[in-house]
Amino acid sequence: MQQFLIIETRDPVEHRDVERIAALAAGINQEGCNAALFLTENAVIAARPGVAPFLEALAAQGVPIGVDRFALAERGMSSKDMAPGMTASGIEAVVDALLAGARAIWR
Amino acid sequence: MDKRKTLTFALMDAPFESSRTATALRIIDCAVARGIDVNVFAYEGAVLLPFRHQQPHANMVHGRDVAEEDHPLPREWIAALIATAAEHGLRFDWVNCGLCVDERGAGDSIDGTRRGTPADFWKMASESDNVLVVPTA
Repeated sequence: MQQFLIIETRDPVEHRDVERIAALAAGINQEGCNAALFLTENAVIAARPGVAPFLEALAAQGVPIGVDRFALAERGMSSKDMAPGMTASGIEAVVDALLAGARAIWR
Repeated sequence: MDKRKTLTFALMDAPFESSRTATALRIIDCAVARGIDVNVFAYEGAVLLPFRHQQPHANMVHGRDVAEEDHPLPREWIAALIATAAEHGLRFDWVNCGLCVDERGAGDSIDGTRRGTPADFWKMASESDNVLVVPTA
């Protein structure tokens, strides 16, 4: 089954089209593939509870959401500041996904 | 024994402008640390990332001289990646788009990088295990 990794870099408050991740991930899954998300740079702000309910809904549906630990630390955040279903992760998660054959989409 | 893996990256952002470059170089650093051969195709403003004449500067606002400021330079990060790959016997091929270089007068790049064309990117992508394109914002 083809894996997709969506790498989001943007803050959903500043860039409203970050919300389209939800439709993109759902569409990928509906096509019989698997979508995972990796939040980095300002996108890690979306990991805070209540900032991006669409991401929390995705996480509740079982879509894996990794959050760049380095970007969290840069912004004074930690895994304790994240909504349920999101996982603090190193950048090696991207390399792992690439090596596993995931198609990566950088936004 | 597993065949050695190769990843190809396309970068487009100019230095000192976007977090994307630092994030992409972190990913590339991780790949090199894992013993993966790496290709990088630098397109548009990214051809200035390995530009030899980048210089650090002081920060007078914060009262720091050049040494104290320790301003990071992308050419040094790339040189470190090239050196690390060489130490581990890995292939690290950094190709600058020649047309983009000419447009920007960016021909004087650090050792270990070379000039090429988008056809190099096609060849790299075709021969790699995977590709990550990091577009401009």
